Amino acid sequence: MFLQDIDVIDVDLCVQQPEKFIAHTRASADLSAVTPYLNAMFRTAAYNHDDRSIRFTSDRVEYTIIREQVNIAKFANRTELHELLDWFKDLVNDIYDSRGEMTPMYECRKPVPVFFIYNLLPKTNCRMCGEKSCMVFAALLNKLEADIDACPPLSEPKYAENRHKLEVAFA
Amino acid sequence: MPIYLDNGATSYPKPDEVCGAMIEYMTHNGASPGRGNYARAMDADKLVYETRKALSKLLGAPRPGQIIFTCNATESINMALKGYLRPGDRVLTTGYEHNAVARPLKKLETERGIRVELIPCAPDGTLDLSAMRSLLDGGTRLVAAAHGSNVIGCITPLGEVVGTAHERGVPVLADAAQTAGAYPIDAAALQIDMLAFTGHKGLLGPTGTGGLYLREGVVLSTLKEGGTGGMSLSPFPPDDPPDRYEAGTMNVAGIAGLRAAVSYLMGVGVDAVRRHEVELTGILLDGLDSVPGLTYYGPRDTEDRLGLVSFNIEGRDPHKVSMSLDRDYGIMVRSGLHCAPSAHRLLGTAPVGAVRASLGYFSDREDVERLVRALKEISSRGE
Ligand SMILES: Cc1ncc(COP(=O)(O)O)c(C=O)c1O
Ligand code: SF4
Repeated sequence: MFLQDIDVIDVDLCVQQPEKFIAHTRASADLSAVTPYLNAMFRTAAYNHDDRSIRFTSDRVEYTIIREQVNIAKFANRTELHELLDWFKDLVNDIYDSRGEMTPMYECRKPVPVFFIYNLLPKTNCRMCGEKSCMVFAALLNKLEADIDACPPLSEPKYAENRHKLEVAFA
Repeated sequence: MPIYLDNGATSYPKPDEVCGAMIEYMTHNGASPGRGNYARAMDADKLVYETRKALSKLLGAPRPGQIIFTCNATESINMALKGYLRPGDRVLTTGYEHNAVARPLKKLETERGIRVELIPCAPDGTLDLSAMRSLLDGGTRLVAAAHGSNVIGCITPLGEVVGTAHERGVPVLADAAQTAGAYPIDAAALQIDMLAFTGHKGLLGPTGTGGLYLREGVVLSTLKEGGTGGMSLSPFPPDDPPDRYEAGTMNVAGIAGLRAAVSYLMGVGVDAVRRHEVELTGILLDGLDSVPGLTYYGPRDTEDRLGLVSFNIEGRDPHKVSMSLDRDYGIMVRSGLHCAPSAHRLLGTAPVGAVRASLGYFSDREDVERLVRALKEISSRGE
Protein backbone atom coordinates (compact mmCIF):
# COMPACT_ATOMS: atom_id res chain seq x y z
CA MET A 1 0.00 0.00 0.00
CA PHE A 2 1.37 3.41 -0.98
CA LEU A 3 -0.08 5.37 1.93
CA GLN A 4 -0.12 3.26 5.09
CA ASP A 5 -1.03 5.77 7.73
CA ILE A 6 -1.78 9.35 8.55
CA ASP A 7 -0.92 10.50 12.06
CA VAL A 8 -2.77 13.38 13.64
CA ILE A 9 -0.29 15.84 15.12
CA ASP A 10 -2.69 18.34 16.60
CA VAL A 11 -6.25 19.61 16.43
CA ASP A 12 -7.14 23.26 16.86
CA LEU A 13 -10.11 25.55 16.41
CA CYS A 14 -10.51 26.79 12.87
CA VAL A 15 -9.75 30.51 12.57
CA GLN A 16 -12.13 31.07 9.68
CA GLN A 17 -15.01 29.14 11.20
CA PRO A 18 -14.72 29.03 14.98
CA GLU A 19 -17.36 26.32 15.33
CA LYS A 20 -15.17 24.01 13.25
CA PHE A 21 -11.73 22.46 13.68
CA ILE A 22 -8.46 22.27 11.80
CA ALA A 23 -5.95 19.41 12.11
CA HIS A 24 -2.31 19.07 11.19
CA THR A 25 -1.46 15.55 10.19
CA ARG A 26 1.50 13.67 8.76
CA ALA A 27 1.22 11.03 6.07
CA SER A 28 3.56 8.04 6.02
CA ALA A 29 4.44 8.81 2.37
CA ASP A 30 5.36 11.87 0.30
CA LEU A 31 2.12 12.76 -1.43
CA SER A 32 3.76 14.76 -4.24
CA ALA A 33 3.28 11.68 -6.37
CA VAL A 34 -0.49 12.07 -6.30
CA THR A 35 -1.11 15.84 -6.04
CA PRO A 36 -1.15 16.40 -9.86
CA TYR A 37 -3.89 13.77 -10.05
CA LEU A 38 -5.82 15.37 -7.21
CA ASN A 39 -5.47 18.61 -9.17
CA ALA A 40 -7.05 16.92 -12.19
CA MET A 41 -9.88 15.55 -10.06
CA PHE A 42 -10.89 18.59 -8.04
CA ARG A 43 -12.26 21.53 -9.93
CA THR A 44 -11.62 23.76 -6.93
CA ALA A 45 -7.98 22.79 -6.53
CA ALA A 46 -5.21 25.37 -6.24
CA TYR A 47 -2.06 23.53 -7.32
CA ASN A 48 1.50 24.78 -7.25
CA HIS A 49 3.88 22.83 -9.42
CA ASP A 50 7.01 24.29 -7.80
CA ASP A 51 6.51 22.39 -4.58
CA ARG A 52 3.70 20.15 -5.87
CA SER A 53 1.46 21.41 -3.10
CA ILE A 54 -2.27 21.53 -3.45
CA ARG A 55 -5.32 22.88 -1.72
CA PHE A 56 -8.79 21.67 -2.53
CA THR A 57 -12.25 21.51 -1.01
CA SER A 58 -14.45 18.46 -0.91
CA ASP A 59 -17.79 18.39 0.90
CA ARG A 60 -17.00 21.76 2.50
CA VAL A 61 -13.83 20.36 4.08
CA GLU A 62 -10.53 21.94 3.03
CA TYR A 63 -7.39 19.88 2.38
CA THR A 64 -3.93 21.39 2.07
CA ILE A 65 -1.10 19.06 1.12
CA ILE A 66 2.63 19.65 0.93
CA ARG A 67 4.65 16.44 0.72
CA GLU A 68 3.91 14.48 3.93
CA GLN A 69 2.02 17.32 5.52
CA VAL A 70 -1.75 17.21 5.27
CA ASN A 71 -3.85 19.93 6.87
CA ILE A 72 -7.56 19.37 7.12
CA ALA A 73 -9.86 22.25 7.97
CA LYS A 74 -13.54 22.83 8.73
CA PHE A 75 -14.55 19.48 10.19
CA ALA A 76 -17.01 19.18 13.06
CA ASN A 77 -15.25 16.88 15.54
CA ARG A 78 -12.47 14.35 15.94
CA THR A 79 -14.62 11.45 14.87
CA GLU A 80 -15.33 13.21 11.60
CA LEU A 81 -11.61 13.95 11.27
CA HIS A 82 -10.82 10.25 11.39
CA GLU A 83 -13.61 9.47 8.93
CA LEU A 84 -12.13 12.06 6.58
CA LEU A 85 -8.64 10.63 7.03
CA ASP A 86 -9.95 7.16 6.13
CA TRP A 87 -11.64 8.60 3.06
CA PHE A 88 -8.55 10.55 2.05
CA LYS A 89 -6.24 7.60 2.55
CA ASP A 90 -8.42 5.39 0.33
CA LEU A 91 -8.60 8.14 -2.29
CA VAL A 92 -4.82 8.58 -2.36
CA ASN A 93 -4.22 4.83 -2.60
CA ASP A 94 -6.83 4.46 -5.35
CA ILE A 95 -5.21 7.26 -7.32
CA TYR A 96 -1.77 5.79 -6.80
CA ASP A 97 -2.86 2.36 -7.97
CA SER A 98 -4.66 3.66 -11.05
CA ARG A 99 -2.33 6.50 -11.96
CA GLY A 100 -1.33 4.64 -15.15
CA GLU A 101 -4.82 5.19 -16.50
CA MET A 102 -5.21 8.75 -15.24
CA THR A 103 -4.05 12.03 -16.68
CA PRO A 104 -2.27 14.30 -14.21
CA MET A 105 -2.62 18.04 -14.43
CA TYR A 106 0.42 20.21 -13.75
CA GLU A 107 -1.07 23.68 -14.17
CA CYS A 108 -3.17 25.59 -11.75
CA ARG A 109 -6.59 26.45 -13.11
CA LYS A 110 -6.97 30.19 -13.59
CA PRO A 111 -9.97 31.53 -11.71
CA VAL A 112 -12.66 33.22 -13.79
CA PRO A 113 -12.48 36.92 -12.83
CA VAL A 114 -15.26 38.15 -10.55
CA PHE A 115 -16.05 41.10 -12.77
CA PHE A 116 -16.34 38.94 -15.86
CA ILE A 117 -18.86 36.76 -14.00
CA TYR A 118 -20.74 39.69 -12.52
CA ASN A 119 -21.26 41.23 -15.93
CA LEU A 120 -22.96 38.10 -17.16
CA LEU A 121 -25.34 37.76 -14.20
CA PRO A 122 -28.85 39.34 -14.32
CA LYS A 123 -27.74 42.06 -11.82
CA THR A 124 -31.20 42.29 -10.33
CA ASN A 125 -30.10 41.34 -6.80
CA CYS A 126 -33.27 39.26 -6.56
CA ARG A 127 -31.68 36.97 -3.94
CA MET A 128 -33.18 33.82 -5.35
CA CYS A 129 -29.72 32.25 -5.15
CA GLY A 130 -29.79 32.80 -1.40
CA GLU A 131 -27.05 35.46 -1.54
CA LYS A 132 -27.35 39.14 -0.72
CA SER A 133 -26.53 40.33 -4.22
CA CYS A 134 -25.34 39.28 -7.65
CA MET A 135 -21.87 40.52 -6.67
CA VAL A 136 -21.69 38.17 -3.69
CA PHE A 137 -22.85 35.31 -5.90
CA ALA A 138 -20.21 36.23 -8.48
CA ALA A 139 -17.53 36.12 -5.80
CA LEU A 140 -18.69 32.66 -4.73
CA LEU A 141 -18.67 31.43 -8.33
CA ASN A 142 -15.15 32.76 -8.68
CA LYS A 143 -14.06 30.69 -5.67
CA LEU A 144 -16.01 27.75 -7.10
CA GLU A 145 -18.10 27.71 -3.98
CA ALA A 146 -21.38 28.08 -5.86
CA ASP A 147 -22.95 26.64 -8.98
CA ILE A 148 -24.40 28.56 -11.94
CA ASP A 149 -27.64 26.61 -11.50
CA ALA A 150 -28.21 28.28 -8.15
CA CYS A 151 -29.26 31.45 -9.99
CA PRO A 152 -32.73 30.60 -11.38
CA PRO A 153 -33.14 33.76 -13.52
CA LEU A 154 -30.10 32.68 -15.56
CA SER A 155 -32.22 29.89 -17.00
CA GLU A 156 -34.66 32.36 -18.53
CA PRO A 157 -34.40 32.53 -22.35
CA LYS A 158 -33.21 36.15 -22.35
CA TYR A 159 -30.08 35.12 -20.41
CA ALA A 160 -29.36 32.06 -22.52
CA GLU A 161 -26.34 33.64 -24.17
CA ASN A 162 -24.88 34.88 -20.88
CA ARG A 163 -25.40 31.50 -19.33
CA HIS A 164 -23.63 29.84 -22.23
CA LYS A 165 -20.64 32.18 -21.82
CA LEU A 166 -20.45 31.36 -18.12
CA GLU A 167 -20.64 27.65 -18.81
CA VAL A 168 -17.76 27.93 -21.26
CA ALA A 169 -15.73 29.97 -18.78
CA PHE A 170 -16.20 27.36 -16.06
CA ALA A 171 -15.86 24.28 -18.27
CA MET B 1 -15.53 -26.85 36.63
CA PRO B 2 -18.49 -24.56 37.25
CA ILE B 3 -20.63 -23.87 34.23
CA TYR B 4 -21.72 -20.37 33.36
CA LEU B 5 -25.08 -20.26 31.57
CA ASP B 6 -26.12 -16.68 32.26
CA ASN B 7 -24.80 -15.12 29.08
CA GLY B 8 -28.14 -13.36 28.60
CA ALA B 9 -27.24 -11.23 31.63
CA THR B 10 -23.62 -10.72 30.63
CA SER B 11 -21.26 -12.92 28.66
CA TYR B 12 -18.49 -14.88 30.35
CA PRO B 13 -15.70 -15.57 29.81
CA LYS B 14 -14.39 -12.75 27.65
CA PRO B 15 -11.70 -13.30 25.03
CA ASP B 16 -8.22 -12.83 26.61
CA GLU B 17 -7.56 -9.94 24.23
CA VAL B 18 -10.27 -7.88 25.94
CA CYS B 19 -8.55 -7.73 29.29
CA GLY B 20 -5.19 -7.31 27.54
CA ALA B 21 -6.37 -4.25 25.64
CA MET B 22 -7.79 -2.65 28.78
CA ILE B 23 -4.57 -3.16 30.70
CA GLU B 24 -2.57 -1.88 27.74
CA TYR B 25 -4.60 1.35 27.63
CA MET B 26 -4.54 1.84 31.40
CA THR B 27 -0.81 1.15 31.63
CA HIS B 28 0.57 2.84 28.56
CA ASN B 29 -1.87 5.48 27.47
CA GLY B 30 -4.38 6.63 30.06
CA ALA B 31 -5.26 9.85 28.17
CA SER B 32 -8.71 11.33 27.66
CA PRO B 33 -9.80 11.34 24.02
CA GLY B 34 -11.32 14.31 22.21
CA ARG B 35 -9.51 16.87 24.31
CA GLY B 36 -5.72 17.13 24.65
CA ASN B 37 -3.29 17.85 21.84
CA TYR B 38 -0.37 15.69 22.90
CA ALA B 39 0.53 12.54 21.05
CA ARG B 40 -0.97 10.17 23.60
CA ALA B 41 -4.31 12.00 23.49
CA MET B 42 -4.21 11.62 19.70
CA ASP B 43 -3.63 7.89 20.19
CA ALA B 44 -6.62 7.73 22.55
CA ASP B 45 -8.73 9.50 19.88
CA LYS B 46 -7.65 6.92 17.37
CA LEU B 47 -8.44 4.06 19.72
CA VAL B 48 -11.98 5.34 20.25
CA TYR B 49 -12.41 5.95 16.53
CA GLU B 50 -11.18 2.47 15.62
CA THR B 51 -13.74 1.03 18.04
CA ARG B 52 -16.53 3.02 16.42
CA LYS B 53 -15.33 1.86 13.03
CA ALA B 54 -15.26 -1.79 14.05
CA LEU B 55 -18.76 -1.49 15.54
CA SER B 56 -20.07 0.29 12.47
CA LYS B 57 -18.81 -2.60 10.32
CA LEU B 58 -20.24 -5.22 12.65
CA LEU B 59 -23.68 -3.58 12.88
CA GLY B 60 -23.92 -2.29 9.32
CA ALA B 61 -23.72 1.42 10.12
CA PRO B 62 -22.64 3.39 7.04
CA ARG B 63 -20.29 5.67 9.02
CA PRO B 64 -18.34 5.28 12.29
CA GLY B 65 -19.63 8.68 13.45
CA GLN B 66 -23.13 7.26 13.63
CA ILE B 67 -22.15 5.13 16.63
CA ILE B 68 -22.58 6.96 19.93
CA PHE B 69 -20.93 5.47 22.99
CA THR B 70 -22.96 4.99 26.15
CA CYS B 71 -22.43 2.92 29.28
CA ASN B 72 -24.97 0.24 28.32
CA ALA B 73 -28.13 -0.47 26.32
CA THR B 74 -30.23 1.04 29.08
CA GLU B 75 -28.56 4.43 28.65
CA SER B 76 -28.85 4.15 24.86
CA ILE B 77 -32.57 3.41 25.05
CA ASN B 78 -33.15 6.26 27.50
CA MET B 79 -31.22 8.58 25.20
CA ALA B 80 -33.33 7.53 22.22
CA LEU B 81 -36.75 7.58 23.88
CA LYS B 82 -36.28 10.73 25.93
CA GLY B 83 -34.47 12.52 23.14
CA TYR B 84 -37.06 11.70 20.51
CA LEU B 85 -40.51 11.61 22.11
CA ARG B 86 -42.50 14.78 22.63
CA PRO B 87 -45.55 15.43 24.78
CA GLY B 88 -48.61 13.62 23.48
CA ASP B 89 -46.68 11.27 21.15
CA ARG B 90 -47.93 7.76 20.63
CA VAL B 91 -45.52 4.81 20.76
CA LEU B 92 -46.03 1.25 19.64
CA THR B 93 -44.05 -1.42 21.42
CA THR B 94 -44.11 -5.15 22.04
CA GLY B 95 -45.44 -7.14 24.95
CA TYR B 96 -42.00 -8.63 25.69
CA GLU B 97 -39.91 -5.55 26.37
CA HIS B 98 -37.18 -5.41 28.97
CA ASN B 99 -37.63 -2.77 31.68
CA ALA B 100 -34.90 -0.82 29.88
CA VAL B 101 -37.65 0.08 27.39
CA ALA B 102 -40.77 -0.32 29.52
CA ARG B 103 -39.71 1.92 32.41
CA PRO B 104 -38.54 4.95 30.40
CA LEU B 105 -41.81 4.67 28.46
CA LYS B 106 -43.76 4.56 31.70
CA LYS B 107 -41.95 7.64 32.96
CA LEU B 108 -42.66 9.48 29.70
CA GLU B 109 -46.28 8.41 29.97
CA THR B 110 -46.59 10.11 33.35
CA GLU B 111 -44.33 13.09 32.66
CA ARG B 112 -44.88 13.88 28.99
CA GLY B 113 -48.29 12.38 28.48
CA ILE B 114 -47.13 10.01 25.76
CA ARG B 115 -49.39 7.06 24.95
CA VAL B 116 -48.01 3.54 24.75
CA GLU B 117 -49.72 0.77 22.85
CA LEU B 118 -48.75 -2.85 22.41
CA ILE B 119 -48.49 -4.71 19.13
CA PRO B 120 -50.59 -7.83 19.74
CA CYS B 121 -48.51 -10.99 19.88
CA ALA B 122 -48.73 -14.72 20.55
CA PRO B 123 -47.15 -16.25 23.68
CA ASP B 124 -44.20 -17.43 21.60
CA GLY B 125 -43.56 -13.80 20.70
CA THR B 126 -44.93 -13.86 17.14
CA LEU B 127 -46.09 -10.32 16.38
CA ASP B 128 -49.35 -9.63 14.59
CA LEU B 129 -48.04 -7.32 11.88
CA SER B 130 -51.41 -6.61 10.32
CA ALA B 131 -52.70 -5.47 13.70
CA MET B 132 -49.56 -3.37 13.95
CA ARG B 133 -50.38 -1.78 10.60
CA SER B 134 -53.81 -0.65 11.76
CA LEU B 135 -52.46 0.58 15.10
CA LEU B 136 -49.90 2.70 13.24
CA ASP B 137 -52.64 4.70 11.62
CA GLY B 138 -53.59 6.45 14.82
CA GLY B 139 -50.75 8.98 14.64
CA THR B 140 -47.93 6.86 16.03
CA ARG B 141 -44.58 8.64 16.19
CA LEU B 142 -42.26 5.77 17.11
CA VAL B 143 -42.09 1.99 17.18
CA ALA B 144 -39.79 0.68 19.94
CA ALA B 145 -39.09 -3.05 19.89
CA ALA B 146 -36.62 -5.51 21.33
CA HIS B 147 -34.76 -7.27 18.53
CA GLY B 148 -34.72 -10.37 20.68
CA SER B 149 -36.54 -11.17 23.90
CA ASN B 150 -34.33 -11.93 26.89
CA VAL B 151 -37.07 -14.19 28.31
CA ILE B 152 -38.95 -15.81 25.43
CA GLY B 153 -35.91 -15.96 23.20
CA CYS B 154 -37.98 -14.97 20.17
CA ILE B 155 -36.41 -12.86 17.44
CA THR B 156 -38.38 -9.88 16.16
CA PRO B 157 -38.51 -9.81 12.35
CA LEU B 158 -36.95 -6.35 12.23
CA GLY B 159 -37.03 -6.06 8.46
CA GLU B 160 -40.81 -6.55 8.42
CA VAL B 161 -41.40 -4.34 11.46
CA VAL B 162 -39.32 -1.52 9.96
CA GLY B 163 -40.97 -1.99 6.56
CA THR B 164 -44.44 -1.81 8.09
CA ALA B 165 -43.58 1.23 10.22
CA HIS B 166 -41.89 3.04 7.33
CA GLU B 167 -44.97 2.56 5.13
CA ARG B 168 -46.56 5.06 7.51
CA GLY B 169 -43.40 7.13 7.89
CA VAL B 170 -42.87 6.00 11.49
CA PRO B 171 -39.26 5.44 12.64
CA VAL B 172 -38.13 2.38 14.60
CA LEU B 173 -35.94 2.03 17.67
CA ALA B 174 -34.56 -1.49 18.02
CA ASP B 175 -33.22 -2.77 21.32
CA ALA B 176 -30.45 -5.10 20.21
CA ALA B 177 -29.18 -5.82 23.73
CA GLN B 178 -29.67 -9.57 23.24
CA THR B 179 -28.74 -9.77 19.57
CA ALA B 180 -25.72 -7.57 18.84
CA GLY B 181 -22.79 -9.92 18.32
CA ALA B 182 -24.94 -13.06 18.57
CA TYR B 183 -27.21 -12.55 15.58
CA PRO B 184 -26.34 -10.81 12.30
CA ILE B 185 -27.53 -7.20 12.11
CA ASP B 186 -27.26 -4.88 9.15
CA ALA B 187 -28.69 -1.57 10.35
CA ALA B 188 -28.40 0.14 6.96
CA ALA B 189 -29.93 -2.73 4.98
CA LEU B 190 -32.76 -3.04 7.50
CA GLN B 191 -33.16 0.76 7.46
CA ILE B 192 -33.35 0.87 11.24
CA ASP B 193 -33.56 4.42 12.54
CA MET B 194 -32.09 3.87 16.00
CA LEU B 195 -30.38 0.77 17.32
CA ALA B 196 -29.40 0.41 20.97
CA PHE B 197 -26.81 -2.18 21.96
CA THR B 198 -24.76 -3.15 24.95
CA GLY B 199 -21.08 -4.07 24.93
CA HIS B 200 -20.99 -6.76 27.59
CA LYS B 201 -23.35 -9.44 26.26
CA GLY B 202 -23.03 -10.86 22.74
CA LEU B 203 -20.34 -8.36 21.81
CA LEU B 204 -18.11 -10.03 24.45
CA GLY B 205 -16.81 -6.70 25.75
CA PRO B 206 -16.52 -5.32 29.28
CA THR B 207 -19.43 -4.06 31.37
CA GLY B 208 -19.94 -0.31 31.26
CA THR B 209 -19.87 -0.15 27.46
CA GLY B 210 -22.67 0.20 24.96
CA GLY B 211 -23.89 2.39 22.20
CA LEU B 212 -26.62 3.84 20.07
CA TYR B 213 -26.61 3.85 16.29
CA LEU B 214 -28.49 6.74 14.71
CA ARG B 215 -29.48 6.74 11.08
CA GLU B 216 -28.27 9.79 9.11
CA GLY B 217 -30.69 12.63 9.76
CA VAL B 218 -32.04 11.40 13.12
CA VAL B 219 -31.43 14.19 15.63
CA LEU B 220 -32.27 13.77 19.31
CA SER B 221 -32.49 16.26 22.08
CA THR B 222 -29.66 15.47 24.50
CA LEU B 223 -30.02 13.33 27.60
CA LYS B 224 -27.03 14.91 29.30
CA GLU B 225 -25.01 18.03 28.65
CA GLY B 226 -21.44 18.84 29.57
CA GLY B 227 -17.91 19.00 28.23
CA THR B 228 -17.37 17.54 24.78
CA GLY B 229 -13.80 18.66 24.22
CA GLY B 230 -14.46 21.34 21.61
CA MET B 231 -16.61 24.43 21.01
CA SER B 232 -16.35 25.14 24.71
CA LEU B 233 -17.45 28.75 24.33
CA SER B 234 -20.92 27.73 23.27
CA PRO B 235 -23.38 27.30 26.12
CA PHE B 236 -25.10 24.56 24.10
CA PRO B 237 -24.05 21.06 23.08
CA PRO B 238 -22.60 20.79 19.55
CA ASP B 239 -24.99 19.90 16.71
CA ASP B 240 -22.98 17.07 15.25
CA PRO B 241 -22.95 13.47 16.37
CA PRO B 242 -21.32 11.72 18.10
CA ASP B 243 -19.98 14.57 20.31
CA ARG B 244 -23.45 16.02 20.75
CA TYR B 245 -24.47 12.98 22.79
CA GLU B 246 -21.21 12.09 24.50
CA ALA B 247 -20.75 14.77 27.15
CA GLY B 248 -18.28 13.82 29.86
CA THR B 249 -15.11 11.77 29.84
CA MET B 250 -15.82 8.43 28.27
CA ASN B 251 -15.07 4.91 29.47
CA VAL B 252 -11.91 4.59 27.42
CA ALA B 253 -10.64 1.48 29.20
CA GLY B 254 -13.97 -0.17 28.50
CA ILE B 255 -13.92 1.00 24.90
CA ALA B 256 -10.40 -0.39 24.47
CA GLY B 257 -11.71 -3.73 25.70
CA LEU B 258 -14.76 -3.49 23.45
CA ARG B 259 -12.54 -2.86 20.45
CA ALA B 260 -10.58 -6.02 21.16
CA ALA B 261 -13.83 -7.91 21.67
CA VAL B 262 -15.34 -6.74 18.40
CA SER B 263 -12.20 -7.52 16.50
CA TYR B 264 -12.20 -11.01 18.06
CA LEU B 265 -15.86 -11.42 17.03
CA MET B 266 -15.17 -10.29 13.49
CA GLY B 267 -12.38 -12.83 13.32
CA VAL B 268 -14.78 -15.59 14.35
CA GLY B 269 -17.71 -14.11 12.40
CA VAL B 270 -21.14 -13.39 13.85
CA ASP B 271 -22.56 -16.03 11.51
CA ALA B 272 -20.32 -18.66 13.06
CA VAL B 273 -21.33 -17.54 16.57
CA ARG B 274 -24.96 -17.81 15.53
CA ARG B 275 -24.49 -21.29 14.03
CA HIS B 276 -22.77 -22.44 17.20
CA GLU B 277 -25.59 -21.14 19.39
CA VAL B 278 -28.31 -22.56 17.12
CA GLU B 279 -26.69 -25.98 17.28
CA LEU B 280 -26.31 -25.91 21.07
CA THR B 281 -29.86 -24.63 21.48
CA GLY B 282 -31.08 -27.61 19.47
CA ILE B 283 -29.23 -29.96 21.80
CA LEU B 284 -30.60 -28.09 24.80
CA LEU B 285 -34.23 -28.19 23.59
CA ASP B 286 -33.96 -31.90 22.77
CA GLY B 287 -32.57 -32.50 26.24
CA LEU B 288 -35.25 -30.41 27.94
CA ASP B 289 -37.92 -32.39 26.04
CA SER B 290 -36.74 -35.44 27.95
CA VAL B 291 -36.97 -33.87 31.42
CA PRO B 292 -40.22 -35.00 33.11
CA GLY B 293 -42.55 -32.14 34.08
CA LEU B 294 -40.46 -29.48 32.36
CA THR B 295 -42.03 -26.84 30.14
CA TYR B 296 -39.92 -24.42 28.14
CA TYR B 297 -41.14 -21.28 26.45
CA GLY B 298 -40.73 -19.62 23.10
CA PRO B 299 -40.41 -20.96 19.56
CA ARG B 300 -39.45 -24.62 19.08
CA ASP B 301 -37.56 -24.00 15.86
CA THR B 302 -33.99 -23.11 16.82
CA GLU B 303 -33.68 -20.83 13.78
CA ASP B 304 -36.43 -18.67 15.21
CA ARG B 305 -34.90 -18.16 18.59
CA LEU B 306 -31.85 -16.94 20.45
CA GLY B 307 -29.52 -19.15 22.43
CA LEU B 308 -31.45 -18.69 25.64
CA VAL B 309 -34.25 -20.84 27.00
CA SER B 310 -36.61 -20.07 29.88
CA PHE B 311 -38.36 -23.00 31.52
CA ASN B 312 -40.17 -24.24 34.61
CA ILE B 313 -40.51 -27.61 36.25
CA GLU B 314 -44.06 -28.34 37.25
CA GLY B 315 -44.74 -27.60 40.90
CA ARG B 316 -41.24 -26.18 41.48
CA ASP B 317 -40.21 -22.71 42.49
CA PRO B 318 -37.86 -21.50 39.74
CA HIS B 319 -35.74 -19.74 42.32
CA LYS B 320 -35.12 -23.01 44.16
CA VAL B 321 -34.35 -24.80 40.92
CA SER B 322 -31.67 -22.26 40.06
CA MET B 323 -30.27 -22.39 43.60
CA SER B 324 -30.00 -26.13 43.39
CA LEU B 325 -28.34 -25.93 39.98
CA ASP B 326 -25.72 -23.64 41.45
CA ARG B 327 -25.16 -25.31 44.84
CA ASP B 328 -25.45 -28.93 43.85
CA TYR B 329 -24.19 -28.88 40.27
CA GLY B 330 -22.12 -25.72 39.85
CA ILE B 331 -24.34 -24.46 37.05
CA MET B 332 -25.08 -20.74 36.96
CA VAL B 333 -28.45 -19.75 35.52
CA ARG B 334 -30.82 -16.96 36.36
CA SER B 335 -34.32 -17.30 37.74
CA GLY B 336 -37.11 -14.80 38.33
CA LEU B 337 -38.52 -12.13 36.05
CA HIS B 338 -35.31 -11.16 34.22
CA CYS B 339 -36.23 -7.45 34.35
CA ALA B 340 -38.96 -8.16 31.81
CA PRO B 341 -42.23 -8.68 33.69
CA SER B 342 -44.38 -8.16 30.60
CA ALA B 343 -42.70 -11.07 28.83
CA HIS B 344 -43.51 -13.26 31.82
CA ARG B 345 -47.10 -12.02 31.77
CA LEU B 346 -47.27 -13.04 28.14
CA LEU B 347 -45.98 -16.50 29.06
CA GLY B 348 -48.27 -16.73 32.09
CA THR B 349 -45.24 -17.14 34.35
CA ALA B 350 -45.56 -13.87 36.29
CA PRO B 351 -45.05 -13.12 39.14
CA VAL B 352 -42.67 -15.97 40.05
CA GLY B 353 -41.00 -16.10 36.67
CA ALA B 354 -38.92 -18.93 35.29
CA VAL B 355 -35.43 -20.37 35.12
CA ARG B 356 -33.36 -19.12 32.20
CA ALA B 357 -30.33 -20.85 30.76
CA SER B 358 -28.51 -18.64 28.29
CA LEU B 359 -25.71 -19.87 26.07
CA GLY B 360 -22.77 -17.99 24.69
CA TYR B 361 -20.03 -18.45 22.17
CA PHE B 362 -17.88 -20.17 24.78
CA SER B 363 -20.58 -22.61 25.89
CA ASP B 364 -20.22 -26.16 24.63
CA ARG B 365 -22.15 -29.42 24.29
CA GLU B 366 -20.79 -30.70 27.59
CA ASP B 367 -22.24 -27.66 29.43
CA VAL B 368 -25.64 -28.30 27.92
CA GLU B 369 -25.58 -32.02 28.63
CA ARG B 370 -24.62 -31.42 32.25
CA LEU B 371 -27.47 -28.98 32.64
CA VAL B 372 -29.97 -31.47 31.22
CA ARG B 373 -28.67 -34.28 33.48
CA ALA B 374 -28.93 -32.00 36.51
CA LEU B 375 -32.48 -30.98 35.63
CA LYS B 376 -33.50 -34.62 35.28
CA GLU B 377 -32.18 -35.32 38.75
CA ILE B 378 -33.84 -32.26 40.24
CA SER B 379 -37.12 -33.15 38.58
CA SER B 380 -37.08 -36.75 39.81
CA ARG B 381 -35.97 -35.81 43.30
CA GLY B 382 -39.18 -34.11 44.34
CA GLU B 383 -39.37 -30.79 46.21
C1 LIG C 1 -33.71 -7.10 25.87
C2 LIG C 1 -32.81 -6.32 26.78
N1 LIG C 1 -32.83 -4.97 26.70
C3 LIG C 1 -32.03 -4.22 27.47
C4 LIG C 1 -31.16 -4.78 28.38
C5 LIG C 1 -30.33 -3.88 29.21
O1 LIG C 1 -28.96 -4.03 28.94
P1 LIG C 1 -27.91 -3.28 29.89
O2 LIG C 1 -28.15 -3.85 31.25
O3 LIG C 1 -26.58 -3.62 29.35
O4 LIG C 1 -28.22 -1.84 29.83
C6 LIG C 1 -31.11 -6.19 28.50
C7 LIG C 1 -30.20 -6.88 29.43
O5 LIG C 1 -30.22 -6.88 30.59
C8 LIG C 1 -31.95 -6.95 27.67
O6 LIG C 1 -31.94 -8.29 27.76
S1 SF4 D 1 -30.37 34.72 -8.18
FE1 SF4 D 1 -29.10 35.44 -9.82
S2 SF4 D 1 -30.01 37.40 -10.31
FE2 SF4 D 1 -30.82 36.86 -8.33
S3 SF4 D 1 -29.37 37.79 -6.88
FE3 SF4 D 1 -28.66 35.73 -7.20
S4 SF4 D 1 -27.20 35.99 -8.83
FE4 SF4 D 1 -28.40 37.83 -8.85
